Amino acid sequence: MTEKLKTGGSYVFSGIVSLTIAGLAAYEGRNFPFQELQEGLGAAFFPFLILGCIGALGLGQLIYGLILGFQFELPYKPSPELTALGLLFIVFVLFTLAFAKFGLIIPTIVFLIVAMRVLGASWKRSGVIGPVAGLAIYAIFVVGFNIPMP
Amino acid sequence: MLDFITSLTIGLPLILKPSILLFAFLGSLIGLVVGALPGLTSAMAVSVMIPLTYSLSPEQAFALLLPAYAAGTFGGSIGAILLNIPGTGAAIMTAFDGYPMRLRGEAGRAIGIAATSSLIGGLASALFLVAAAPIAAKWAIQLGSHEYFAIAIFGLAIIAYISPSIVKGLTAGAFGLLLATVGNDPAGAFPRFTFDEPALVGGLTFVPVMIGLFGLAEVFWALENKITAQQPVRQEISGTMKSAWEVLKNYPVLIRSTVIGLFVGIMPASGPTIGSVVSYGAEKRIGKNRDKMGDGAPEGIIAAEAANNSGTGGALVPMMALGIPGDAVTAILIGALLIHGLQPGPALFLDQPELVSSMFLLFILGNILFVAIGLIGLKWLLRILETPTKYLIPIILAFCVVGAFAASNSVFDIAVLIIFGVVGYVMRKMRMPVAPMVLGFILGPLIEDNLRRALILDDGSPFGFFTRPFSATLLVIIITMLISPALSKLLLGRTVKLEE
Repeated sequence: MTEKLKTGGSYVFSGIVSLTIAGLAAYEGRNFPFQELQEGLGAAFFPFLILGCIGALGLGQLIYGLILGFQFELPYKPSPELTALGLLFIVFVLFTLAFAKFGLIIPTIVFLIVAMRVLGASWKRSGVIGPVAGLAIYAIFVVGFNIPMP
Repeated sequence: MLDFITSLTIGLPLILKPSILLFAFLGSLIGLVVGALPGLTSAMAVSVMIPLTYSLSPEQAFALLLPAYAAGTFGGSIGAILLNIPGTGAAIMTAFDGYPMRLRGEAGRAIGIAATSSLIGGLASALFLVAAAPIAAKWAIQLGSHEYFAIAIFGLAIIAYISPSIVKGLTAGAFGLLLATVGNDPAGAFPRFTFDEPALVGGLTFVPVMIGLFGLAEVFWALENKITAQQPVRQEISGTMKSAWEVLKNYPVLIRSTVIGLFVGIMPASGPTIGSVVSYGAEKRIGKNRDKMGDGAPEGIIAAEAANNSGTGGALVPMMALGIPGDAVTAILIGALLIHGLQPGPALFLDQPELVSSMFLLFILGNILFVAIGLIGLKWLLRILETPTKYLIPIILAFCVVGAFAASNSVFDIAVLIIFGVVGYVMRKMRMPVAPMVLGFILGPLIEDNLRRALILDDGSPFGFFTRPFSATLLVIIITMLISPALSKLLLGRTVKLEE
């Protein structure tokens, strides 16, 4: 795939994304009121001005990408890094859910151990570094800076 | 308004406390380490540190954040010299000469040159900040809605202009402005894009958005692209102290680069990165040793490092005096000011001169501390640089979650963090710059408010912006800047066709 086609693909993709976001936001904001000048122009004025800009820029990118010619960089080739990244993201999301439900210390320590393991650390080392780092985070936020945590 | 001497003295009682000095030391240390680590930037260091400041007083908070900003900019040069991977964007040009020096076995000399240049550039910019910010704030009092609107749009236009693609930069800026509209309309309190979620009524919380865009997304991006996977080649670091003299001997380069960095940095949204690129380019064009630049010439490191560190002080001038950020980090610092109930701009100088002075002094202190820590603790710093990613990244991720939650003790903010982490990652995939979005998000309320006011004053006519000299000049510059690349491409294409 040539660089030109990749560039074209990135313009087409961001053009489509921009137009979609502008469309969805315009739909969500369809009931925002427009008002007279002396009343401050209304809640709809500024968002719709911006949406107009995003729409125009999105359309411009789409047309430019189509003129350049395009090819998407899809699908991502499976690589150990990407697999680790995907796994790490899942573990991370699970951690955030556990953090909200069970509090700071235990979920953080478990997350650190599992995430280090996902990234290639041994159980032994992650088993030592994870709890130490977890307790350090607790000490910094809760003890050191008096920030309340769940 | 503050004069130079008062600016340097009135805040002394606020900072001459053990706790403040300790925070400044910690801020410098964290900024230096994070800045030096490949793939992790000073923007990330500052955004992740903001939650730590919630329970602190404003001067304690800025004792942590301002030195981190200064130190992070220098820290980037260590990664650039030792690994050929700039720790921050501002250190890109440092790698061109720093890395070849390291290959010649002169890593210590290169780091010494970088440290001395950074120190002098940083201190000069700090003094410039002390002198210029109060004057700029005094001038800003006279500005009206038209001028404020034009300056803010100018900042957005510059950051789009320096993006790899202007259109994508502008789109990212527009997305930022759209994000800023989330929450109750400031004029009529009508809820906009709140999706019936009470947590969104006051708008998106700044901290989780920043940590998501800069912390989470940067970690994922660096991990995928193996930026953090490389290890430094061990080399004995020596001759660091001796190279200070070498910088002083090259004083014409030092002065030129410092001045360029300052003036580029002071322009809204330009920041240290552009300053170092411009300065390196200028040195390559007019420098006495220009032929050797790129092969390990000390002039290259001096040009890049003096300019990027002098750019930090320059970037703080519009941030403090006008509330317009000079770069992504100062955009985050504006958020930190707002979190502590402080509105950047002329009112800050009038209402809290002691605090403003203490911020100046902390910035000066930060510039001294990072060089001291960087040179004395270089051995330990290199050890940290060698910390494997597999241990470091999970700890940073945990920090991101805890920091986002701390923003308002709300689980909703953790969801915001994840969403903006994904948004930042996808934007990098789309080759869309993140910095314009951050700037748009910060400047959104200011732009909306001043646009409305200006239109009301002019009976709805948009031509009022062109009848006032200052706003008209800025808008003409913006239009020229945005259409000139397309125009030059078009003209160049036509010339090539004619020649054919």
